[in-house]
Amino acid sequence: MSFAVKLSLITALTSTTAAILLGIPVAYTLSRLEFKGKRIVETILMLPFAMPPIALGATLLLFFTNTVLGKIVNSILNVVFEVPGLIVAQFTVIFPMVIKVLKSSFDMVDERYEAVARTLGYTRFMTLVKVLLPMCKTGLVSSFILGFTRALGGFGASVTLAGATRFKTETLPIAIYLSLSSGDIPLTVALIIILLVVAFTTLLSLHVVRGGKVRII
Amino acid sequence: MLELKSIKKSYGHRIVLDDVSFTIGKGEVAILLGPNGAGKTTMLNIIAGINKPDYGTIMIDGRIVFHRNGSTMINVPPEHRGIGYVPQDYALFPHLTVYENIAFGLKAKRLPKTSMKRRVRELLDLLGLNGLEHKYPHQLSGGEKQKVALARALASEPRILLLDEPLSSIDPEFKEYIRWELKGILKRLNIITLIVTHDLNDTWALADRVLIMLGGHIVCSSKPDDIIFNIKSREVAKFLGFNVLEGWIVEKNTYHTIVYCGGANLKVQTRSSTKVDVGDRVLVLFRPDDIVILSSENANVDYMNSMEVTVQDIQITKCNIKLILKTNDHQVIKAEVSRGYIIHLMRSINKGSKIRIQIPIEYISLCRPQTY
Repeated sequence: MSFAVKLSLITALTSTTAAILLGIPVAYTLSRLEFKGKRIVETILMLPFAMPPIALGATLLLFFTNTVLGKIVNSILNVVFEVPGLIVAQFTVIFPMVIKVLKSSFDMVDERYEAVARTLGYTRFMTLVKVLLPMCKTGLVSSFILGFTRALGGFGASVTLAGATRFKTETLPIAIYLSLSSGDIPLTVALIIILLVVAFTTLLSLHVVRGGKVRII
Repeated sequence: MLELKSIKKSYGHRIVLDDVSFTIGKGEVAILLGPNGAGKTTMLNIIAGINKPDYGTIMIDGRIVFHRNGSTMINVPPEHRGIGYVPQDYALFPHLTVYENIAFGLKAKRLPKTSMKRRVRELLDLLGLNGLEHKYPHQLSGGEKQKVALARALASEPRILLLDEPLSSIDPEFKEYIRWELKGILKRLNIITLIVTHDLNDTWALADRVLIMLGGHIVCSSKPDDIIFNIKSREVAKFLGFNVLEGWIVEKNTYHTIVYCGGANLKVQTRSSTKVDVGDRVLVLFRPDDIVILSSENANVDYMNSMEVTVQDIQITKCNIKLILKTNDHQVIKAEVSRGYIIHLMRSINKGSKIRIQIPIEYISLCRPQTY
């Protein structure tokens, strides 16, 4: 059980951090720059959000096992039926949501703040770091918490790409699936309670984070 | 010196700036005046380097900061143009204190801490912001925010200061005082300042030069006091709130031109009507606040440049009285007279009553009617 908790936390933290780090430049581009085909790009990025997790997992599995690029990536990262597969699957599921939250957070900041920073000697990148991100602190924390919660509960895509192997790719949802299949009801209930406690704590912290300041309710 | 040559900018099919050229000299406070949507803010953003024009050249102190002509393009990014920018509503960084806001530009320059402190202190003194350095923007009044934004823009010692509607978010009761304070600060700075506004009071109070922008064009460039003699169209006169009457020239010599207008002959200085000749139809321009209401005892005396009019409407405001008048040939005149000046006449001025007004010769201008 502690293996599943530990693996869940590590994979969810890694995939969420990666989604945020990659999501910031993508959301910034979508929010601040105008280019041809922007709507199409945005729609493609949102596609995983609308797909059933099992279909997403199957697509990833086929990509990593049947395409040249996928095979090369798999040979480097060891994705299929391995722990990195969990991170890739979680990342794919949460990335659209993280982009959506970050973009709407960026959209809410008046571009005049950045214009002032530019005239004061800051490059576009430094303006993002020194002005936009601090002003979007709440959006950043919200996207992290939402992404983390979703990654923690990810099952369909993860099980399809990384498989359900005890003490290997056994995250909390996969552990619940395995214990239920073997008829171990007390373990299943215990795992559900753990998942509920973790999810409750993280979601509660979402309500606590307001106006860029952490408050105790 | 700031020089703009043939600047063009469109958004899709909408032309925002159409062949705009002007020059502003060192120490000059220029006001870019125009109605909402005239392209004023786009103009500021283009000078600051935030937007790129489709065509044209921008030079600051002889150095090209933007040039686009066909495929050739030079574009100096905003951070290297030496511009201080104060946007509408000031855009103070809400996560930084007053001190940190002012020091923001100095940090980008990696100034030593002692020099940074000294510079911020200088600006706090200059703008009377001492004691506010640890406050956050949401704790400041409109006037204080404006000064902090000004201090932030001035900290890096810009060559040009751009202010977008600097007084639009100041409460009306403080506006006059803040305007007066701003004028004093700008005079002391002695740098190129370009202010965008649609407020005529700001214009008359602050400007060394007025640039009027209508429909993407600069339609008038003049000193505020001479503006009436530089108006070339009915639209500009109407935008400035001037009276525009139709008339025609009946006599002209080196010194004076006589124009028949509103059922009376008005004498105009010939220097204000050089481009018109006897028989020409013209527009007669004068400001509502330059009109003199003659007292009822003198109503029948035929003063120079006086005419009989009918009172259509009377609006009494805090400081003055506005009259809507109709001439004998049915043209409408707006008159604005201070309360103290006219109050003793009010008993004899009613809706429908006939009164006599006078328009002083030195305040009348003529222009050719471009649009009838």
